[in-house]
Amino acid sequence: MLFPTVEFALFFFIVFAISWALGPRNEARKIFLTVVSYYFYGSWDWRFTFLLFFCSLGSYLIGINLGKTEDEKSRKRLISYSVAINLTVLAFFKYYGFFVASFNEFLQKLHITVSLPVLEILLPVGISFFTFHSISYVMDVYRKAIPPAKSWIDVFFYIAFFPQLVAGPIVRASKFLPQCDKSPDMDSIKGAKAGTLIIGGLFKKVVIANLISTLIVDPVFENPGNFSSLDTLFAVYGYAVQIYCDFSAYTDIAIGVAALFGYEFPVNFNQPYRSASIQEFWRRWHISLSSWLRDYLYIPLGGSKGGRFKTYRNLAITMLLGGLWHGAAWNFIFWGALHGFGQAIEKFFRDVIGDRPKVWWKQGLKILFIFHFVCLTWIFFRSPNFETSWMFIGKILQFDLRNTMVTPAVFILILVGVGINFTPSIIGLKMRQFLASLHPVVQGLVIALAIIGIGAMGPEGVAPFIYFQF
Amino acid sequence: MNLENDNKDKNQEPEPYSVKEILIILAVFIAVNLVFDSTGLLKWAKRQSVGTTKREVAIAVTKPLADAQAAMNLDLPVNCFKNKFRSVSGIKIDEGFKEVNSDSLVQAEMKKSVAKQDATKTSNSDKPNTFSSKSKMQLLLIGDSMMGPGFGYMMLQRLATDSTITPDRYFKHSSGLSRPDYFNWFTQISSLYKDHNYNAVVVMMGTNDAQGFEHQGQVFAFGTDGWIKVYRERVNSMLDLLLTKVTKVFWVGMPPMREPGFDGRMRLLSKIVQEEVQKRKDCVFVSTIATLGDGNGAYAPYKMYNGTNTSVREGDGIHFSNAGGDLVAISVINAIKTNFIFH
Repeated sequence: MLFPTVEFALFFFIVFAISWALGPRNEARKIFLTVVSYYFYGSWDWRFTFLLFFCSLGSYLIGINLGKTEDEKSRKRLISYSVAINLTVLAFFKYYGFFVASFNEFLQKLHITVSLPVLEILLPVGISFFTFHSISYVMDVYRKAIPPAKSWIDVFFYIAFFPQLVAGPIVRASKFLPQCDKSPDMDSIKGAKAGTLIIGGLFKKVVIANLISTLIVDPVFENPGNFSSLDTLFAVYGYAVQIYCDFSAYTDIAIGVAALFGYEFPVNFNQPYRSASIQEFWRRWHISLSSWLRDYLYIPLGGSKGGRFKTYRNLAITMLLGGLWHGAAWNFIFWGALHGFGQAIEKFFRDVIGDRPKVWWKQGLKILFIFHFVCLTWIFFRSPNFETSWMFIGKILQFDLRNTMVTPAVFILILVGVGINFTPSIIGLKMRQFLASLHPVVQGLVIALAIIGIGAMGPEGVAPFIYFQF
Repeated sequence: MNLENDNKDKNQEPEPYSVKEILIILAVFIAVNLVFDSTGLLKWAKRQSVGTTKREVAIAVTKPLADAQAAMNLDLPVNCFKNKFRSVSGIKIDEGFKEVNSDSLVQAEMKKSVAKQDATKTSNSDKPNTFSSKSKMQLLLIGDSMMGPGFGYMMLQRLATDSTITPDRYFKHSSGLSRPDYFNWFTQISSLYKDHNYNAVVVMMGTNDAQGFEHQGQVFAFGTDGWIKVYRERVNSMLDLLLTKVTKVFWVGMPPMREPGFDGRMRLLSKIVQEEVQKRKDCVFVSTIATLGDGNGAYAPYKMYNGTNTSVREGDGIHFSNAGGDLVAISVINAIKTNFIFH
């Protein structure tokens, strides 16, 4: 059930009405929201609700046992089991085929006829997200950031809550579970925030992302050889806009929907294309994933505390695994490696040169450079294989300036998509203030007309969100 | 005058809402949509699977509202906005999405498309059979998502290095012959033919066709005798239309599917198409069962490709991976090369 569909709208209206009708009955409310979340997940494939159930049960039981012992050895053993099981589940469903195929190809290159058995394994929607939620819960309990959940429903609700279940954001247990302790206040719903996020998200997805992919990104990435350097360059810019708008739209809508139920989700995108360094980019892009990797992988590995080379190693491992998280393919690993390598180079220069005062035109150049670096890495992320990626880059470097694809519409969509990254935060605040200043009847009218207008501008058909594949 | 407090207020987040306020907003939202966008809601309702309660209820609710909306011209603002946006932005709507109000109109559209093309039919003597790098074959690839990534993509990759064939691809997700009320391939092909002179067409569609449809006011459940009869007519109308301009049509059959029920439905569809295609000397059916199936013609997720046991299908058990698409592309290109003369 995708967000921008009539089916989801109907689902939401019914769930919203019933959940608030349950009023202060917090346990009943959480049970209800968990059940509908399972229904939401089951609408993709009911078989995987069992996987979700057992992941949640496992996390709950580990949490209980962590709470029962202070012996560090036992606690470490429990956390190791839990993390290992979650990662094994993720690895099996997502990476078995990739590793076996790669290994068999490697054996074949060595003229070894033995091969590992190939299996066709269905990939459950959202597995990368709910396994990370499971790990977040047990890690936060282990680190005593939160006590073990008294009620199983809190853990099941946290892991399955439908706005973030299939494509994030990755909400930390330590941030979400305290919110489950009491029923949200019926008079404290952040309606203006929810409304502006949902409308903004729909505009980014339905208008910008869908149109740009139809008008330039898909045709050019499919067959870059048929297009000029200018077309391919703008297709890359277009993809940078598409993936940003598509992904940030989903999480904006998820945050907005969660807000309507009285729950706070973290910000997941903070204008990433205004970054003046790769490190800054990862503080602004998919913040919930990058901070998860920082806190549960980079820092446990030693972070930047073990000397220069260990820091580079830790950066490389974190970014490689970050790339692998996105998909079972070498191009994702390479994409992650490019970012890891880039961050290592940055760190080296920062250590050598130190911090310098920021000069506006130098900042501008840095932002331009980082944006183009990120666009370069997107080529590998988007292309079906390395051959197409190199062909793409080669095509851009031919400097053939014929224009067949960059229409005014394409140019404006790219400009708007990039421009969103430079709008002052006060504009968002003003929009929320404006919406909230209107009478609820007028607000309903404004929101309805905005969404009808968005629907009228979008292409026919509903394209799924990009990050569903992860 | 307290400027500091004034500035603080200006930067304050707005007051939170109560559930009652949210419910009022949602109620108005629903009402406005029903008033100004009932046509859109009716379109959504009609696109549901034919013969299901969901569709019947959805149409029963939205049709009276859509009729009332149309009678009072309340759909005018949305349509004006849509048209203005499209004309200013230069973004065109595909001909296949041309609005139709009922299936009897769809039939009329189909007949109109074929008749119009018949009038501008290319005579057999003007349909070349010989091609070279100086006189290239203009090849049209059409279909549903099966003509997209995977097969369609690999056709373009292979033909990029063939100096005697120029491919042109048009595919539309979720399309087919069963639901021309969603996307009408007849109007779309007429539009594609208007500006180009193609010599041959490769067709791959059917994954979205295993569903019931309405035909002349009657609902036909998938697989019934009535359904098969109408589907055959549509396949023939499609072939008639395609052959008004091109020398040959190559129709690629469905591969084995992972899910047994779906596999059965696709085999029925392919059987119907194959029977109709093989009646015509200008049409070639390219089966993919042997290419992508196992030794018994059943679903095979892995096949030998470039000497390695490679995944040939996507995770959904329906679409092709690039390797699978390439295996099919090789068969199709071989069929094209066999049926024409290339220097």
